Amino acid sequence: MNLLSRNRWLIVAICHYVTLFIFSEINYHIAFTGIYILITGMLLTSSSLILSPTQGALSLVPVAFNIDSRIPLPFGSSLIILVGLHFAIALFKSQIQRETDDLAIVTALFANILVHLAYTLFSRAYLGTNGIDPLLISVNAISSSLVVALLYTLYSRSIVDILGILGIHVHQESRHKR
Amino acid sequence: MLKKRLFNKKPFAVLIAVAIFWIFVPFIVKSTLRSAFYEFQAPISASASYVRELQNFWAARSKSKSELYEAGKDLAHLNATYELMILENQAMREEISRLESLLGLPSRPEYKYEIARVVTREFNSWWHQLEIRKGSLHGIPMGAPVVFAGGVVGRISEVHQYTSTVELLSNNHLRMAVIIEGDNRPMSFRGAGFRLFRSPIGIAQYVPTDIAVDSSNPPRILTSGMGGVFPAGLHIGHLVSLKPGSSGMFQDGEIRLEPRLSNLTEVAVLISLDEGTAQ
Repeated sequence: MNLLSRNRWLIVAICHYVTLFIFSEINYHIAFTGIYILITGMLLTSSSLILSPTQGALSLVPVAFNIDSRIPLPFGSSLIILVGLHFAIALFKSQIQRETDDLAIVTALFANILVHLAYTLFSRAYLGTNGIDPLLISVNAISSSLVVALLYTLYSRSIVDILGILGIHVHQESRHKR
Repeated sequence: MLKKRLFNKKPFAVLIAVAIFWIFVPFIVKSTLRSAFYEFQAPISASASYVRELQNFWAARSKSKSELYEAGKDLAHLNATYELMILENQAMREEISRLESLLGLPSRPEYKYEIARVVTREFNSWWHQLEIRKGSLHGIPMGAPVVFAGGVVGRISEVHQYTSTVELLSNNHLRMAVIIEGDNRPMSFRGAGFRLFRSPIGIAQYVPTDIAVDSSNPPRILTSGMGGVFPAGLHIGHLVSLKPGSSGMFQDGEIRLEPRLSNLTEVAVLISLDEGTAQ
């Protein structure tokens, strides 16, 4: 296993960083509507399904730290949410016989909704219940889910392609393992 | 087979161990790591803001000469009006200081304005904040009030080297004492988030029972100057509705904040001159 293959988590983490940056720009421009697109579930699921449990967790750590450094919740909240959900998805992955695109999208949607729920619980615990509007959270969760449903396949394929360009053939490796 | 399954679960055990370890990491390590990560990615968001400026510059360059001439003419009119207003303000300031010395009143706090561009807007379901392109290197103090042409924006909640985070007025954790224009009785204000596709809102508590709302001319809400953070008389929003409070002695009201709050591109941080000289 070469150096690049061993550190594939870093390539995935960079892809996540770029995606987060693009979506922070989108959120900047749509802020006047009150809608906020959260795509953490998509990033999390792609890391969990494309990489091994350890590599996936490593790719999520810098992303979680990046999110945590910008939010008013205690540092490490996103780390616990992302690593916990990653663990759950990896466990789910180990139990299923065959991975399909549809199942991956459903997992991404489910993860995104769980991320919304987790942030709501964290902000309830650390910032108080005032101002938590269930309608706004639901609308934002639906909007984000729509974006995740539309983009997940494209995003995960792009990551696999980028890894392929760098000589890491994820699908071939998983076939060899079987 | 069983042995292989147990072996596969080893990474999960490692992940759980890491999560438990994280809980016990000392606060100082976490805060250093947070600051390091923030400062590391801050130039990326700031660069996006510079790119937006460049975009605006080229958009302005594409305008025709006649459009620019019209804009210049409008600016000349505005400049003339502002010059007159400066003269009026100077006369009023002199009058205020004369009255203060006559009545032996303490002088009002003086502020300097630090203009800053908005880098990111984060208005999600849980918190509302802006990131601005000025930080501790530009003398931005923690907790400083932030204003714009339409009134109060919020206050500085975090200061980094080149950027700062502004807690927005609509954020439900921001509270302050406010008054209704023309009435000196203080009330409590807190942010209440966003109404979808509409302006941000706030909630007024302890509104006296004799206050009524006229929908055609809603009462204007201003800062009271109490607490020493925000100077008195800054625009907050308009009181649009009232309902009886839980105690029965006061009313609670909804405040419609300035709609431009969600579109801000430039704000001004008020830095107290007394604080500056003390530093």
